[in-house]
Amino acid sequence: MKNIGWYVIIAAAIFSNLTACKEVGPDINLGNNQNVVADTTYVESPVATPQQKNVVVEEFTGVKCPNCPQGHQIIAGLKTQYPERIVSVSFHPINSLGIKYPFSVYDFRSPDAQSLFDYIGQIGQEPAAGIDRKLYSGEAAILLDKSKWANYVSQQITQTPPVNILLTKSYDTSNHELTIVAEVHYTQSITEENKLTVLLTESNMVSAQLNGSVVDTFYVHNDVMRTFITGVQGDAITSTREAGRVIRRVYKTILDAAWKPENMHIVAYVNEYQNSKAAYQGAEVKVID
Amino acid sequence: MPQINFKPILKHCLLALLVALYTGANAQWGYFSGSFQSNTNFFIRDPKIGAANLPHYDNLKVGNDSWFNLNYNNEKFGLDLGVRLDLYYNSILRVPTTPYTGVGLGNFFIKKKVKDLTITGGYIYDQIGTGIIYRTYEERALGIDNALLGARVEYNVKDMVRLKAFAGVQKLKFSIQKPIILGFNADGNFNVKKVIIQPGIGVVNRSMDQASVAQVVSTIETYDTAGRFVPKYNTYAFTLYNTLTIGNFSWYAEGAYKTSEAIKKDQIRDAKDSLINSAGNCVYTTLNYSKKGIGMTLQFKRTENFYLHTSPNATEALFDGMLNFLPPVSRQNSLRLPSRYFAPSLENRELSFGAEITYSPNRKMYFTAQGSYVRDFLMKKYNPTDTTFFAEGYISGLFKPTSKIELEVGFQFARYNKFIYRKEGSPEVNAYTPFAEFTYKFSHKMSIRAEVQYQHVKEDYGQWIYGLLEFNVAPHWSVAASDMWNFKPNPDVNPNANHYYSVFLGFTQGPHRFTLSYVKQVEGIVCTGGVCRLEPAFSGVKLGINSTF
Repeated sequence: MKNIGWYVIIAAAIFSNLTACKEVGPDINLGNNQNVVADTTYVESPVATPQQKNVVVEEFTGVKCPNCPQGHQIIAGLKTQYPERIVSVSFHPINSLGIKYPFSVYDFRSPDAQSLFDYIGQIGQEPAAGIDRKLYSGEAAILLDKSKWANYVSQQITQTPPVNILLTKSYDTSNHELTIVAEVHYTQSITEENKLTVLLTESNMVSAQLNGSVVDTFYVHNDVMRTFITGVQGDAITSTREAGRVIRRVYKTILDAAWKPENMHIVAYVNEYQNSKAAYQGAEVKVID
Repeated sequence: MPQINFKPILKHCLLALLVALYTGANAQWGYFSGSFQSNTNFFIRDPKIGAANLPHYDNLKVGNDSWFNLNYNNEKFGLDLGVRLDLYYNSILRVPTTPYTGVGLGNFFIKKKVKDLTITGGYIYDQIGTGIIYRTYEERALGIDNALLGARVEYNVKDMVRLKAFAGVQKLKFSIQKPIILGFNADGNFNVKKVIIQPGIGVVNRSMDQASVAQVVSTIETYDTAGRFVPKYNTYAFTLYNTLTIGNFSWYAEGAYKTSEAIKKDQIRDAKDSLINSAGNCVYTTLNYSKKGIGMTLQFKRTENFYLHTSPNATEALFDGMLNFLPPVSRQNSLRLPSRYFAPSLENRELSFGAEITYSPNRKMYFTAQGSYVRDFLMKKYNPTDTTFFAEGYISGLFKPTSKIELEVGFQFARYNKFIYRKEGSPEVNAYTPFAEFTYKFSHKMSIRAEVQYQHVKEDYGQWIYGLLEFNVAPHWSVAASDMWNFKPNPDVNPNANHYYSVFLGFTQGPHRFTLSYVKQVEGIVCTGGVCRLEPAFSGVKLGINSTF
């Protein structure tokens, strides 16, 4: 009987752990994105003139990361140096560097940020940022130490993007409904598979941040990722990608009442996702002008 | 006092000492063994039979595949080491239409035995049960080498139970496939009076890497919304099997299940590859009866979506990423024309039956009757498009009227669904093949062998006749000439009444064998060990060296 008791305990332990075996699946566009209200495509002629290159800076940061404010300053400096050509997003993954203080106003951490951190490839440090989500020659990972950001931004900003991204929006203050029209215009033929990512950011958020050895209770956080309108890894562009191809997607979403639309931006970028994850072009517009 | 002659005693003692020292040294230092195999192809363009418009016929012209294997065994230390150098130059083994060149370490392993525990590291060939949930093996003729690069631990419990666990990644040419494979297997062997029970269980987990999953995701995202699903990184396959031997009967039964994942859709009625999310199962059983002069085998297999690969993504070669082996039920014929139609196992949907009876009333006669039937398990009642996949009836009689004469005659009927197995052509091929083989031994060393086969088939290539004459002078020489003549071709497939000649010369010297042949081979399914693929026509000269030491 004693042995039977042990077997029961072992069986119960195994059974109780079976739920832990359930895996978290990959990010996939099941075609049922509730935010998409229209998805059309056509070929335009003549082919659009390429836009100026905007560089996508995806920064992974945390409120208890002592060196992260230095990263924020570098990005602010890049925005000054290249006005309206840096599309930056601050992601706060779920780790010890992101745990909020008891007196913090916001908890910036999100599972989506963590999911993207895993997808791009963590490097075990923050701040870390991807510059156009590109794996540069001689680098071991897409995410880079802050000392390297400026150099790669200066390199990328001279490129000619193969796609233009046009963002237009309308915001209904009565019901907080935001309508986004994202248009991707291919100016060159692309053989690689592409995805379009659309997300919302919020700036001017005052909340505690460790800065060196000091906790700054009134630290101003900018470009904080609030929500993905598409999947975390973007939604696939399934049509052919010849020069002149236009993909037009219309999204509708209701903004959280706690968010301040006047401080928010719509961010979009187009990237590869098979042989590389490199972003071609980024775009950013305010939710309310 | 008689004199003692010490010379012969001393001589024998010295000899015994030398033998002892030599044996002792060997026991101390272990043994080396190995093999070398080299096949060289000289491609001769022949557009008439379709041996053209491929790089090796049009410009490369020569190709070579070589394997040099060296093993070391030391029983005293329970140690086995092995290394194999693989050399491929314009090789058409992996992908018969695309020559491949690569040189590297094809295999290495270290195996150490510590009492009842055996640890192996390196490239590992292994299987669980009949291989339904896991099999890694090398089949050079088809370019298959799906060894596991990893580690394995085996534990022998009182020679009755053998426990085995392994982990690793699958070999791919001189690189690896990134999905990770873990497995566990327990085999038992118990005797209860005259009953032998050999049960076993096995579990395999395959965990796909991010890049493979990303590729699966991108495939699924091209589907209509209704066909999309979230693919799994992991699949788990389980098997339970047993061999029960009572007297002259032996019954093997195996049931396997795998959890749902993205697998290639049923290609039976969907010509294009696409993915579905599905679990799979397979049941396989054989019943054998044998006693002096008579033998009987019954087989049954049912397979449903038992697709077990490193990933469902497209691969360069047909067998890349294969994790298991589904045993086929149909007969594997060795003669040229009867072997043209064979039913390899299908992964998606298959219900197959097989039976074979052998009878030998005396040493001078041996009869074989065999039948197999393969079909969809969705019966016609539920599926109006249902057809037979494969059916075969085979009878043969072997007669040895004198010690010098051996004659075998037989007949095969095969119904082969070309669309199911080759995704082309008319769905049904009916082949009627009588055959005869005659051997006459002039002496212990000299013999002559002749084969004559005729195949009546209207659909595929049309009608064939095959003849072979072989002269052997043991133990060194073997000379053969053959022709396979498509004397009444089906104009829809091939307008020419082509001859496919072969001339062969073989020389064996101890452990070394050298072969030289001029070969013309028709395009068709080539099967080895129950695994098949379509190979283009071959025209050229083959030079082979095979050596063991």
